[in-house]
Amino acid sequence: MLDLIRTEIFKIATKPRSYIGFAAIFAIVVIIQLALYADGQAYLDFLIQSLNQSFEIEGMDFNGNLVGFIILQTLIIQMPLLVALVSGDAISGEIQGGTIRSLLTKPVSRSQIVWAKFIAAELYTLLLILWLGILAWVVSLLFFGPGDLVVLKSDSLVIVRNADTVWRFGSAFAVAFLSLSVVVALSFLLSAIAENSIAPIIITMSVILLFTIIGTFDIPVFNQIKPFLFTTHMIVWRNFFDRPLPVDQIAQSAGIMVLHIVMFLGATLIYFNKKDITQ
Amino acid sequence: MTDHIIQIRNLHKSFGDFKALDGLNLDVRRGEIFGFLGCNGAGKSTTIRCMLSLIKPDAGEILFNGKSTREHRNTFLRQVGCIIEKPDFYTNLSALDNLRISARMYGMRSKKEEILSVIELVGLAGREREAVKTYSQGMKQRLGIAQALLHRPELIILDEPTNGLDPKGIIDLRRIIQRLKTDFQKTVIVSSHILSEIELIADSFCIIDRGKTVIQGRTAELLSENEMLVSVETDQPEQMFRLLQNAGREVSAPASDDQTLTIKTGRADIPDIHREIVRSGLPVYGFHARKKLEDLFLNLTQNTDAHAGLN
Repeated sequence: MLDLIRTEIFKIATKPRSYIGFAAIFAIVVIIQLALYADGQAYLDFLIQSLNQSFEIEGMDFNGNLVGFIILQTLIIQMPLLVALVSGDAISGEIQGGTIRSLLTKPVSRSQIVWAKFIAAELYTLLLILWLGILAWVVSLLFFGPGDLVVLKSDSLVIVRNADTVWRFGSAFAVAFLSLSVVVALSFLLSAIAENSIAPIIITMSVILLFTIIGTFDIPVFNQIKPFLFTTHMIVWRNFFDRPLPVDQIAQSAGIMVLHIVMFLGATLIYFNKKDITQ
Repeated sequence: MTDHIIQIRNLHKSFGDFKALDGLNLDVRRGEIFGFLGCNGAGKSTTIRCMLSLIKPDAGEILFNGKSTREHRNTFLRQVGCIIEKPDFYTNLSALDNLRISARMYGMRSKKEEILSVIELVGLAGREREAVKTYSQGMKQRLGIAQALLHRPELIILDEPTNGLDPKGIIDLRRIIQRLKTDFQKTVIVSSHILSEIELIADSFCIIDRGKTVIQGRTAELLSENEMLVSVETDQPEQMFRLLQNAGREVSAPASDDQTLTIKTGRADIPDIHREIVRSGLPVYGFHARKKLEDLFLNLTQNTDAHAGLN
């Protein structure tokens, strides 16, 4: 199994598309950091202008923690696409390229192949999250310096002490990884069904878009299904910047996301094990 | 150990209403080159895919060395090397990397020397570090054979291996297949609709039609050398017909607009016929002797597309 995983990692590492995510994150983060470096205070003033009408706010400075939070909030929307680019290609890419025939005539089970590919895609996702974490948060801390993090919510303002930011950012990245794992599992299922590598990527993004749109409408029929949509729980990372910490809500969201992963991966295993390779 | 390396019994497979395999039976002897013939859509690829567990048959049994390939899938696949239709590779990687990946899948910690020796065997030495996307179809076919041989299997399965090859590529491939048998004592199953190729290399063959075995046996027995066909193309068919008839040859009377005569004869008589024609001074534009596989094939396959599938 280790050899299989190593092989799958090697395949991902040698595909040019695997580096699109890293390059895109680098470009977006650097652009945002440079813009905030030049005009950060003006941006912050704009954000808190409504609060300034009711309160007198002092000592709210622009720092690395705030920049990291802003970038994370912006980029987390793009991350599923970057992840699906690789995971959506994992099985369908082999089908499209014809290498599936050679792969499935080797003395390893189809389930082992799916697991090896899934683990490799998960490692890739983890690296992508780490890359985002290093660039968005660690580099921002180096450039802008540490400080208390002020999180503006629609109806409140949360101040997170600088000493508290490490575990909160760490946990947020961990839950963001879990959210992206749902995307990996979904695109894996679609990748097993599709015959080309574009369809799983487009369908994955369409599903996320559709569910997100459903999530934004406050309509009773939508409100009933919202708790079961994985997209509702993909933004749970933000809860780590709440006070008090909504532990139950985080645990529930994490559980629902794990359930989705199990469901999508299980369906992939069943479907792929039965699939006739006729191409 | 049984004499037969592969035995297929009553194999069935349908795709919707279409019966791709309808009770197919097959026996392949150890150490032979086995030709697997049929028109396009006759069920050759489906049979091979069932053997290699790419497709699950609806019913029937495939035995490898007397054991079910379904129950002993991994043991079987460890002993098989194959090319299905056309070999496909990770084209952004080199031949060396592709073979390394393949070796790892067999749990082999293949040493570079082992990989290089297989590359040399198929005539790709010196090109192994180039990306496969720069390879011609013939080179990919050779690499496919290298991949099929890498783990030293007992059985090699080649499904339509000449697809996309130029004449030189076909000749090279034929030599490699013959070497697999003579130098490496491998059993080779070659599926094809190119009858002339199978006729040249196969020790045994089987013809299937509409998912059923139509005939199977040793080439020498099925294609008796006492029954060959010689075609003679001339612009004086009447004179040629009389000449051959007077010489006691079994020759078909020419149609009014046909300039080719066909003589039924034994292989030993062909030089005499040639001599008689040369002596007569009649103009000859074509002289072609063939065994009767083509006729056998056409007689046995009722598929109306039979001619379309023949090259």
